[in-house]
Amino acid sequence: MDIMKQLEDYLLHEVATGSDRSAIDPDEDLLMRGLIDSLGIIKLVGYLEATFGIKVDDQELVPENFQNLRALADLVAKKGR
Amino acid sequence: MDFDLSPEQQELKDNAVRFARKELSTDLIERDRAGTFPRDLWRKCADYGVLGFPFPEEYGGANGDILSTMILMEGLGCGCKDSGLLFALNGQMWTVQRPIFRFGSDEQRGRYLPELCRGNLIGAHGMTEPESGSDAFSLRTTAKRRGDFYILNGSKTFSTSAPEADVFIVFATIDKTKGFLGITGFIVERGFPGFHVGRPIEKMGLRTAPMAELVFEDCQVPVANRLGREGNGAAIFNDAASWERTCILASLIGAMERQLATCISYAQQRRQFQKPIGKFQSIANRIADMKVRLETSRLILYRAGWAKQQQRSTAMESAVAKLYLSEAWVKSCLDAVQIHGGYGYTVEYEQERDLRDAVGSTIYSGTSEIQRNIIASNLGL
Repeated sequence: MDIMKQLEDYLLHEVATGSDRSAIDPDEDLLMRGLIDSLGIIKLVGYLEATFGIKVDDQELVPENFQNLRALADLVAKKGR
Repeated sequence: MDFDLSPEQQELKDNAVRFARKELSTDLIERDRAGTFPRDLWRKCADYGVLGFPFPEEYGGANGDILSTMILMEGLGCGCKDSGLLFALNGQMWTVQRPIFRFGSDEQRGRYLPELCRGNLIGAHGMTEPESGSDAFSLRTTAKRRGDFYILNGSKTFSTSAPEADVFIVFATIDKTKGFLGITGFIVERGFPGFHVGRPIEKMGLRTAPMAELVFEDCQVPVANRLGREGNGAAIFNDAASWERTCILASLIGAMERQLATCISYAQQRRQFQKPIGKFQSIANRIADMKVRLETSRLILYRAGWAKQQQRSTAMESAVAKLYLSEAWVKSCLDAVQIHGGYGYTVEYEQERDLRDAVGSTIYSGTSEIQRNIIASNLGL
């Protein structure tokens, strides 16, 4: 499974705060849709670190990396190199 | 696995107990009644090296590791009955000094940290707002970039040490549509145009730690005083909260130790029905429960400190420590009042003050309810 699909599944089934479970567009704003909140991001970072073997530094918790699925996947790919 | 303190750690604790007994407990009943901040005692703590202890020597610190810092706080809590003072010291260390050290530029570290560690500057933290408490990231204070400045508008409440502080770590949103990823940290100095400290807030306990509102009315903050990157504020806040949750209650371990000794002594000396009250199971069982809470609290705290020292993610451990220690402390304070009977309810016997102070510990640095949420979330719920 590619990274973006894995992330989408996790976000929809483990992190999403609302009842909307429809597919996430890669460029869709995760915050505007209410898919992650401040507690959810802690969960998400734990998942990224455990699943992809990367370490997400606090300085990287910025909109550029968490705004949408594509940015998240890019972060994982960049850190995993 | 070794459950003993090293000789160096034991010495650190013993010295802290002696220092605190000798220097930090004067006129406490009066200071608590009047709600007076003990600036002279703050200075003594800074001179003793408390504020700088876990920070590098180049910033006026001692480079102490986290477990040693906890043991130092434990010693202070044992020797010093002024929980407000220890609360305020910890507040500055973890929510002002730590964010500057971890996220600040070299220039910011060099400008603020040595002065904070030496007690020449006092720092306060501004996150909570009238409309955003546990839901901290729903804050409304805004920051708009204008040239070389950010213009801040809004207000903060429950800012510990604010009436005395010179430097403030505050959080504002640069873009509400970005949610918590729009939150940005700033270092605000007392003299910045458009900033003032609002009315003092009178509290049930921790009365020697002053508290106030912060008001920003077109407050001009130089871009050079932004802490970290734009949108990095939530991470800065979470990092500070994690350290605060892990460390701020270390002094309570010492306080529980002091309280237990006081209650044992009282139960041995106080006689009713021709025998010491400690010979009645109803009293002895309360004291046994206090001992169990002390020992379990200590283990939970040290484990959280150890995990942090290993640079592990400690969201769960920190939340467990914060939740358990604060609630254990409240229960033991209630027991201490009850063991002392009518005397426990008097100001003179100093048990009621511990109880008033203890209630605050289940609220500050994230309420017990929030800690349970974090624990549940980490359990996959």
